Amino acid sequence: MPRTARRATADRAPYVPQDRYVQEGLRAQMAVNPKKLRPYDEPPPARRPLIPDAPDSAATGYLVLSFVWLAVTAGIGLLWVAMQVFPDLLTFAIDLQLPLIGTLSIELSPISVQTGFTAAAIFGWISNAAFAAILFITPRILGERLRLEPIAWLGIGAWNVGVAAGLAVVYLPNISQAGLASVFPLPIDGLLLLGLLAVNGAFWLTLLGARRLPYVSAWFFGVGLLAFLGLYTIASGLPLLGLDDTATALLNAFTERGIETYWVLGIALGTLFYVVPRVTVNPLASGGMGMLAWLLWAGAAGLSAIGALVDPSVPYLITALGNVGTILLVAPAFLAVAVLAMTMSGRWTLVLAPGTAAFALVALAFVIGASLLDAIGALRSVQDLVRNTEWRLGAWTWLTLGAATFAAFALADHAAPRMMRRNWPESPLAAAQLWSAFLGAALTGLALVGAGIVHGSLIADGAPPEEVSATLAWFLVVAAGGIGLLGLAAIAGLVTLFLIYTSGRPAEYVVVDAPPATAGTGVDRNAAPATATGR
Amino acid sequence: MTVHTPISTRGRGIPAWAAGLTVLVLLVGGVYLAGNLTGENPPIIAEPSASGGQTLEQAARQIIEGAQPSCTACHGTDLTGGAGPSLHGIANGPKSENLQQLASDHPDDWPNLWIAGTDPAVADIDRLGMPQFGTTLTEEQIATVVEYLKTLP
Repeated sequence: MPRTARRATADRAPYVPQDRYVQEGLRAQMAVNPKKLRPYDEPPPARRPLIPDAPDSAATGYLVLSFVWLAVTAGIGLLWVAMQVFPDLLTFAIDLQLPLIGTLSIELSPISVQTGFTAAAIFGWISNAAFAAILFITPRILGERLRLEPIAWLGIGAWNVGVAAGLAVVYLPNISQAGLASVFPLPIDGLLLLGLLAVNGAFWLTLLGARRLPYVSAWFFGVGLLAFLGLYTIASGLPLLGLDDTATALLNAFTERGIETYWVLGIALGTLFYVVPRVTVNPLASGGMGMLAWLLWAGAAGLSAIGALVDPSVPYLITALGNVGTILLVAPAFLAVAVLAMTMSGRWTLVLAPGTAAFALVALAFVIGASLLDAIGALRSVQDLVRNTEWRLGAWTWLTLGAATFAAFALADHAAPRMMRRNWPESPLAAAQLWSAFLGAALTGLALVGAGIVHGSLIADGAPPEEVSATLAWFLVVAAGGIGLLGLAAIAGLVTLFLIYTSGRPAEYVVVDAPPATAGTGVDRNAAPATATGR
Repeated sequence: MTVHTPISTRGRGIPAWAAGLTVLVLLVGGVYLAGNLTGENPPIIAEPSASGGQTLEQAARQIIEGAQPSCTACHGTDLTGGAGPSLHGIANGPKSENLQQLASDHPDDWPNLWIAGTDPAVADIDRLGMPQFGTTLTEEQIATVVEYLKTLP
């Protein structure tokens, strides 16, 4: 049957209420008249384990929490912008005298709030969404049940408690360190590393147990997970190494940039490589281009991190080599976008309606935009102009709140009904989420990049601080509006998840829950749901 | 046993244009590297300033050029001297005779006192036309300028 006809038939398929045994996961078909059932004929009620081990349980937890963190990120971002415009009004530092603890200093400053904003975005929003993507996609591209599902589920607790505690201590200058990745004290770093190890363990055990060469998404996930683990371990161990301030700052800059290129960009690309073929129901246009994109990304991402080593103690040639890495990142970005656009061929009408395809297309546009912006920022003349201005945060915004965020939205739109076993047609909320997030990320990035150029120009012209602040305030007001729109998108996403769970009609999707011995039956185990529409 | 690939691929090859694009970007990177083999990086650790996120040099130059009158009007655009003396090398002490005693009495903050000109310690020193910047600049701004001047060789 042609694909369109098959989908149309599925759309018209009448809803068949599921009996409660199916809803409870007991798929035994009752061949007897239910009215003649006696109490002892009923199967015992399903026992819910303390630690969920059902397929996708860990991925669901990470996905839901990621949207909570996106709302928190937007809130902290608004505060940061407000502090840039009204620094004297909102900046304060107090010392509290507490029993047992002694003096506790609390500092709310532009620097501490910006650190909180970026930490909430990277560790709260992007990382939780990335974990959800990895745990959802890996079993589906390998055709095998995720190993260590309960451990991955426990990782939710370790990771998110760590992030929440870490964001609290950002405002305690006596406890927190400098730098994004090493800002948290060691016990909190330990929690985060536990969470990271749990997801790494689940991913690698599943991958190594698989009997097929993994799809390109798994290659992105593998390198991204290992790099994130390694870089975070280095960053959290910095206070123990007893390095001087310059060396510590250099290693911090290296790990921050590495987390951006390997983790944020890598997971976004890996997710898009899965979502686009799934939603278009087309095969990937070229496996070779996908692997070439992966190879170039894996090499250039590491080089790009070296470009963050900017100090007289580092030979300029090393820094220049790192800048070349940032420029070279354009190649894998273009290749990935090209092959995924070719994959969409023939299904472009999908992007006309808000949904997975539209989210993915916007993510691809931001991948190109962010990589070009980073490449331009790596040029020497541009660096001289915009160093230590808002430019860097603008480029970061397009990568993190643009490319990675929309990749996560696409994943959530595709995966949430499957995770919760619900049938969910697209709703106006998806349109609200799409447009508010798109306008928010685009405006914030453009405003900050523009502010960076103006800031650098004013300093070069020797403008007094009052003039610089007054000029930048206009750009920052626009950025504040953009971050506010992102907050609205987060709320729309959360409401959508809630409605899917509470209002969506129960549906059976094919899940990878069988042991490996029965995996190779020749059936696409990730394909269409049994009673729901779409793939 | 037949194992279906969960996501199939239409082809394994790399289109010629994709290979060409990759080579082009690699060439651009190589050309950029060849043109940037030498240079010097700025310091990574920068002093924060009121306008936020500036390097020490940027913040200090902003104050130096924005002061009324501008420091560069007398000391030159590169602060190597003009109507006034050179400001390079003040980390090793003052060059002007009239400041030697002040430097020995206040070895840590003599430049701050001299630039401000409002402290009783400098009241009896002939200022030789040097304005009292303490009336127009804050202590923090003067400290930023002094810190920067001490980095000049």
